[in-house]
Amino acid sequence: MFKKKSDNLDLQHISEIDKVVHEPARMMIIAYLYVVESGDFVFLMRQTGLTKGNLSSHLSKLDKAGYVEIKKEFVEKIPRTLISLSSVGRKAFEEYQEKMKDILGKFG
Amino acid sequence: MAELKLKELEKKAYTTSHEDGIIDLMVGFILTLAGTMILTGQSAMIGMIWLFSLFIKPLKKKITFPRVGYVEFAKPQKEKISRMFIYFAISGIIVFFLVSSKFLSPDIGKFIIENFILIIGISLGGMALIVGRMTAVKRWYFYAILVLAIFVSELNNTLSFPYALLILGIVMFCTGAVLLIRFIKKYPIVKQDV
Repeated sequence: MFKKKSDNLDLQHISEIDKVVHEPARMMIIAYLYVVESGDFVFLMRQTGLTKGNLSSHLSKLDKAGYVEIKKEFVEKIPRTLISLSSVGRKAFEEYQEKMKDILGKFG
Repeated sequence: MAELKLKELEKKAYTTSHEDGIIDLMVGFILTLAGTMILTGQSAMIGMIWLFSLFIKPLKKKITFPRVGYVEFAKPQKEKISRMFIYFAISGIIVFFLVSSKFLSPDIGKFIIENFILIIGISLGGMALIVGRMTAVKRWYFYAILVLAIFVSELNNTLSFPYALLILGIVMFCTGAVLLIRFIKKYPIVKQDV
């Protein structure tokens, strides 16, 4: 009935999950940025369905973690915020997918 | 499984930018204009009407991007589109050489000349099919079927070439207009003040 020591050790991987990526809204943002080269603020807002404030707050968290690159520019005098996934963010998302597959696989 | 879902996300991002119907509207307008020009005997100017396609990008900038945002697709998607245009160009060159080749047997040459309109129809239908396949925008399959149906009816002399262009153009123009109105209502302009 008792679990083996090795099983407990395996489940400890759950605590190693990247919490920046694991949050649903941020995961959506990262997933969209993963499949495109870059997108502006409106693109992410439309695709994820997040509000301006919500998206802005999650983007600053991702920016702080170094997962996204935010570039502000003017196109014909109109401001545009172009966001892309950094190489660190790309790697973090791939690692997250691997870890989640591994963990969920352990639950059968 | 994960890869499949990410591809779906890419597809969704791509199809959203084509919900505006601007390409349908412009292609429809060009075909309608071409049909009208042939009917009114102004065929000499027909080579110039492709210039209207230059309006697509500014219209996208003005209408689409402020509503659904601007997105740059990753290399595979760009390569896919470039490949699509290369296929078009190669098919065109092959058809041109087939028609103009002196090695062609007189019977085949005669067949091509006699059924030239049908060949144009099949080429246009094929192009619409490839566009549908590459962009995952399903209405292009409908256009492909419509093109084939219209140009096949040309075979029975029920419809002349300019009318075939007119019908196709009007259908595409109206579809584009309906899509554009729906798009503008669905996606109001979002100001980027972040």
